[in-house]
Amino acid sequence: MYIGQRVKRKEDFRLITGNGRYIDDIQINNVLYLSILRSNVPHAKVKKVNYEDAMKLSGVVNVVTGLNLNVDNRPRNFPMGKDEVLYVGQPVAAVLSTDRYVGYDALDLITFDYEELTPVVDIEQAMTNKVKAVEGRDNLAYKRTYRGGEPESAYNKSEVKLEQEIEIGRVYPSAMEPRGLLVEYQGDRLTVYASTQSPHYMRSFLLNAFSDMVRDIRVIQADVGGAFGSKLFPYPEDYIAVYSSLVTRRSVKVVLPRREDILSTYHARDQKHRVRVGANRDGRVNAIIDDVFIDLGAAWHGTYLADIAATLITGPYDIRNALANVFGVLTNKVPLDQYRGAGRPEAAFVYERVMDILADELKMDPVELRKKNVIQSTPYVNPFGLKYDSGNYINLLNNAEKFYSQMEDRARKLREKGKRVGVGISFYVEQNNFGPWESASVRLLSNGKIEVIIGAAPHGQGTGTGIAQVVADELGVNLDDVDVIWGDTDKISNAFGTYGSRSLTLAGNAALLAARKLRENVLRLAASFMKSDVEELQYKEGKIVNPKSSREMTLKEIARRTTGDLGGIWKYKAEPLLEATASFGMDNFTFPYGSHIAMVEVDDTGKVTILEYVALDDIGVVVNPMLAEGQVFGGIIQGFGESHLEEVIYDESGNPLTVSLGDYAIPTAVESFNMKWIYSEEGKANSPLPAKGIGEGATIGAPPAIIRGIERATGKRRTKIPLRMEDLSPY
Amino acid sequence: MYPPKFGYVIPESMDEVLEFLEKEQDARPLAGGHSLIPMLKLRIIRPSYLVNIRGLKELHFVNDGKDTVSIGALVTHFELNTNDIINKNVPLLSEAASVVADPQVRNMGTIGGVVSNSDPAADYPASLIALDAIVRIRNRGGVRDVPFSSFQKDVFTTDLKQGELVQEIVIPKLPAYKYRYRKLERRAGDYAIVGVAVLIKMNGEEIEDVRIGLTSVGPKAIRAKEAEELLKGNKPSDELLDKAGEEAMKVSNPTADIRGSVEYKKKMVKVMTKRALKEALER
Repeated sequence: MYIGQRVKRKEDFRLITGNGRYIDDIQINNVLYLSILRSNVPHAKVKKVNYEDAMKLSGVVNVVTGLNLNVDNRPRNFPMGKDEVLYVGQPVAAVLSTDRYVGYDALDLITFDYEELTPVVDIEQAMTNKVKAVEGRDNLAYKRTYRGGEPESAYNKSEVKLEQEIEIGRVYPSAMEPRGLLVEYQGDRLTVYASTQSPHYMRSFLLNAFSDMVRDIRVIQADVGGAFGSKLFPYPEDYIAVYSSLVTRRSVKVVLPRREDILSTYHARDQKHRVRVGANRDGRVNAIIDDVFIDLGAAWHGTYLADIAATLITGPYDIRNALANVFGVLTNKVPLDQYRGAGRPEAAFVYERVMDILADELKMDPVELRKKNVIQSTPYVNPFGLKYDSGNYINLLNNAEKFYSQMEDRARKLREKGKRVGVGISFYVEQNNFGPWESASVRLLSNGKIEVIIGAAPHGQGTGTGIAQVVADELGVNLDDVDVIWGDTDKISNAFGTYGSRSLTLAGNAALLAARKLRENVLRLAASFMKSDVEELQYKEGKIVNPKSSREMTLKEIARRTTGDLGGIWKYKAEPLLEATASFGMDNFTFPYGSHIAMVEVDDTGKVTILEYVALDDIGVVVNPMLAEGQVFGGIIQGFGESHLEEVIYDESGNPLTVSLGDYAIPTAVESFNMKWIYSEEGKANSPLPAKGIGEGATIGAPPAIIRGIERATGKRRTKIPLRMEDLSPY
Repeated sequence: MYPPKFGYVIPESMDEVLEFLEKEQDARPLAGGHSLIPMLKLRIIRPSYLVNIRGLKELHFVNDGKDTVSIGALVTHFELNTNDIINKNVPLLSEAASVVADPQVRNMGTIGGVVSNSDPAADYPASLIALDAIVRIRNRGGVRDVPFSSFQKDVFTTDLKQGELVQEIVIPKLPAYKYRYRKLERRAGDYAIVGVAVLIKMNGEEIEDVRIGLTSVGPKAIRAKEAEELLKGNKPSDELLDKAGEEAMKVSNPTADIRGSVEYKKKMVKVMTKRALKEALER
């Protein structure tokens, strides 16, 4: 059995030997380079773009301005600012040149005349609606209410009432590879190579925009140097590059320099919650009422992030009465979208802050308070109708408590020595498998090896290895004989991609089902070759055996026999079919849950060091504990970054101040720390392969545990992330 | 991040370099390039020529003199950190070199580059001002020596004139001094929020001499003279170090940025000065 083994990644040999093929590694002839002039003002009316001088520069082939397309949830001035620019970094003009250097020289020669408009820079200002972030639009772009039980009366009747404002800062997803794409012009067809999380989705949104200009667009996912959610939804550059290719009839490449990636890749989080909680004196929570504000920036495709946060606001706790009012506002900032965790970290930060603060108010142990409220049995339907599928929440919390108490003991000793040390615990539930479904094909190749094509589009997660383990087990073959490939709209017809911790569950189950179908086909072929009835044959460890005659055939022999002869006729009854495709969707999300415990030291400069860290998860069956652990460790470090270092900062005039990785601080190996991961497999998913997904869990569990640790270390209530050094120095 | 057009020259001799720099007004010498190239790519600077001096052996040396150590302008941060002569005679500078930016920068970046660039947040200036370092400048007429304290003029501004090049940094040996360079940064490789270099000479239980250099607390590195005076002739105590930190804070004049407010940065001068003093004394 390969499932459950710490198998090394099959993907790595190619990548670590320098054979990766990222967008900028792909060379095609006669390509034009796209350079983009971006707005340097947060909000203005565009009067005129002056590009005549740029056109005169040798090597400049064309300049594109004023491209506007009708795309869902995007303002009229998308993908380019035509009569209005909405944020610093928004494309205003694009140069097509035969050389990148010339392209940027040309940008120096382009100016645009504009009339500055007052920028809208934060949620409070946006809510007043006095100044509009997007001309002709209400700043309140989205409003929705979620209600379950009797929240107001339950709150009013509660013995203890708590009101708290909680803020989650704005972050930049900081993938190592900036965004980019290469559009290969082929007459009536384009092939787009992209750094994307979903080639199929990209094909569909590009065809939506350009179907009157091109017959088809094939999208191939190049190797992707990280995405974290930021390379899924459409970007202006995607449309500008494709449009430019179609109008110039040339191939076009664009790869953003880091500075432009920071200035334009969709930011994430940026929520503010005004939460009210009603509880009994014994700690039992009766009601939670939350006003959720999300700063959407200059488009409104990020509203779902507030919906996810709102509908999970009761967390892993049995709180029957809940109300969440979601307000999505427009501002003159980079549009907001998802980042690893996507709404669940925001929810967890709020409900876990609430638990800790309530524990402090009631002078209760924070774990005791959680135990009083934790969901007692599953399935459990939360007040907004989400059905938490499976698991033993109390058991996991009890296990977490052991680590917490031990860390508390050690922290106490350090505090006695005068150190500012604290321990924080978080408990969370996650909603995974944003579907709706995924596809996979499994093929027996003529050489007897197995090729699996998945519709998911992994980009660093190791899903290819995990699914190879699943298929190898199912077919009883050696793992080395299974290759998993993905990322090409020509290889599989309909698919979704990799996001929302879905790939192993949805693509993994699809591959599992396809492998079963393939096995049936192979049995039928074997029956023909061995002159047996299918019912007589058994499939055993990659062989088809007839127990009566003891005759057997390997997969390789069947593949050879089926494909070996060129010419002649097909004289067998069985269809010569060596591949099978399956799709898999679930009628519910999966709900993993877990707990993080962090021991934190804060020195007198406000610098945070993590001394000890343990994460516990129940994610159903763990196919590859090493890869799952890697996901957890990476997520914890990102959670640490988000808690202490990372924040996109705009000044009061709407100008971004964090425009390089020198300003925007992400943690390095030096800030990293030892982590321990413990998994249980109690709460299985309701699927043949009962895995629930681990891609994002750690980014949900980490911030509330770390912030609680900081709160205990510094003895001051903490209600926002990030907490910067300045916030934490006692001086 | 694509630079504008520039000329590129690889001279064969020092004379050729100096001649070229004198003749071409906007030419810039290129050593490690770890500040110059990013500025070029951001089109913040638009030099006419880059003059690659990396191959000039006469700028790449460490000389162990009688009372001084001379460090050629092309000595890299990595070399500063690992060179035996510097480790033995100027350990303060070795220590500072170990925390400059990240390994890539330390492998490529040079002390001459740091000194000529005069970034107010650079690490070395705190040590160089505490050490009373001399900058030896080369021009076609010969060399001239300028104390580091007057060499640095302002943010990204030095005493270098057209046609001049930093040849070496001359550092007096201070054998009996304890030392410490302390840098406060958000994460490894970041610019200093504040950097403090400390040199202390003890006489029995009393501080005989002390030098405190501060970087990233104003347009250029400064000495915390009042703090030094307060400490001299006294027996170190927690209270005294606190007061010294307080004095250092008073002379600092940082600007607010994403790394912190003026108030925070000033307080951190106090914290880090005390920390550096304490850790130097514990050596």
